[in-house]
Amino acid sequence: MSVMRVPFKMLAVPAPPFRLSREHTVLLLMDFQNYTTNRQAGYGKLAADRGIDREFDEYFLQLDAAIKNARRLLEACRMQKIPVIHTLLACSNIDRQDLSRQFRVNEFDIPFGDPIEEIRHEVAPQPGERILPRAVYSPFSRTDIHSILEQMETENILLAGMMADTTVAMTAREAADRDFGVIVVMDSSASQTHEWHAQLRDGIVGGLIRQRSTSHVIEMIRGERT
Amino acid sequence: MKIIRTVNGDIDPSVLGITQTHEHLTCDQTLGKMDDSFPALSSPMILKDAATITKELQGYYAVGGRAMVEATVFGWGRDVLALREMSLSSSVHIIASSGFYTQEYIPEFAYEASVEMLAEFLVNELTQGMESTNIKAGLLKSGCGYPIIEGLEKKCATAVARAARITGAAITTHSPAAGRFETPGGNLGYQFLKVFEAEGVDPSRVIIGHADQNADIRQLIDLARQGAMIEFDVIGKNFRLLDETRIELLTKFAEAGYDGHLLLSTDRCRISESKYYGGPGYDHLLISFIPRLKNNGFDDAIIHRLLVDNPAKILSISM
Repeated sequence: MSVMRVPFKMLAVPAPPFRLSREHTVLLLMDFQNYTTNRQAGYGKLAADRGIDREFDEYFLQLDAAIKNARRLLEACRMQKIPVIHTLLACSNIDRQDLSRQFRVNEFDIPFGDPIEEIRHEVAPQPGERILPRAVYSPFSRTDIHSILEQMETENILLAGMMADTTVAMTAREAADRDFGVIVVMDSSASQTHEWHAQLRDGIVGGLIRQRSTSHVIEMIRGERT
Repeated sequence: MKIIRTVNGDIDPSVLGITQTHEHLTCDQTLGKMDDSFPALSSPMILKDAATITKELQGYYAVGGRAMVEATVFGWGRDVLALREMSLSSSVHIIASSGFYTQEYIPEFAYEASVEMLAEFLVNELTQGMESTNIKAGLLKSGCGYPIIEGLEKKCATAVARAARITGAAITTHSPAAGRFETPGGNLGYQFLKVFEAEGVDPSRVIIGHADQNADIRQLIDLARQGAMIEFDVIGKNFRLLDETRIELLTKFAEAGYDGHLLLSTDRCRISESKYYGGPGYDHLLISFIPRLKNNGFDDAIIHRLLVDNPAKILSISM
């Protein structure tokens, strides 16, 4: 896998280590849903209709592992009383008027319906956990997530999601630009190819964004590791 | 009396010759306790083809290389008998390493062992032999896989420091590439020195490795000012830093008067990096990088210091 030089990133003085506390940390799970993870629906069906479903083999290989890891991460966060936010690609009404222009012209038929039904059962929300449907890539552009995080006095976000090289990358950068520390949980996320996931891993880090494995983050939230 | 401890016995430092101070000849990344539930995103670091590597070493000797530090420790595929054979077949002095790499490769016994027990294990590798042989290590290594030295890795680093103090062997360090944007200068130099100095190790016996993966000349000079050796050891890996940039950094470093604190190497760790398989090989430093250093004003005396005097100094052990 090619790794690109990052001279601009090298200018940045490293941020101090993140200290994860249950009072100031939030787990944000993005798009663990039927539309993004089922070969017979959403992206999977679009790929099959086009005759390029083989192109997504690496994505589905990653997401099988990512969903299992995300479940571990979710359970660990719940155990430590770390709040969880689920966000998913979903329109708020049947005529899909809230679809972003990008999604509309790209003909991504983001689903409408009960979000609970759409989210993968392995990481199904529990009562009290927020669910933020959106019809854009980043939850920061058309949901209340920023104010919600502020109300929760969030300092650090644990972030994992599907089609991560697009959605997670964008969300991580927007969150960091809004002063949140972000840890991208790489093996709880999946990108469109292995190469793109490697690019995400190597490229996303810097400023207030870090990347860690699921096991490492679980050790962090248990207080076993910095 | 000072000696350098090679896999074929102790030698006088004056006969060491041109030395690359951070290479791998046998290693196997798959031996680690890795979480393999997620697809691998890059090819693992594996060197098991002794015949090919021996030919590469012979090529290294042919262009002037006389010695090499093999930085693979127990738990990461070190094969000391193979190292001895390679050395005999190539006439290259090989200095093997004892110590501990990152957490995934730290042997099971280390989890429960005390610092004293771990230090004793290391001292034994330096003074009696490694892996049930009489082949002794000539250097210690301390690795950390994350941007903070803590937990088991800190315990092992402390044991390495204690063994260094007991034996007089130098310590080479590994800072993680993945954490290079989370630490000043892209390395854990300050943290390593703090751990080692707490055990009484003189900074002049410490090599800050992987100093050229997110370099900051100010930090590197500061580490050298404290006495440490600074090692540019991923030379040729231009996806981290251009070799041209390395040359400019080395020039500034030398101009600041710290050329006595510099070591050079290439950290080969995949068979695809060998010349046989189309890679840059172990001799990239000598046939490509050094001529460019010379073109940038490094005279023969400074080159000799970087390739011969400095390695001999740091690898020397007082008996």
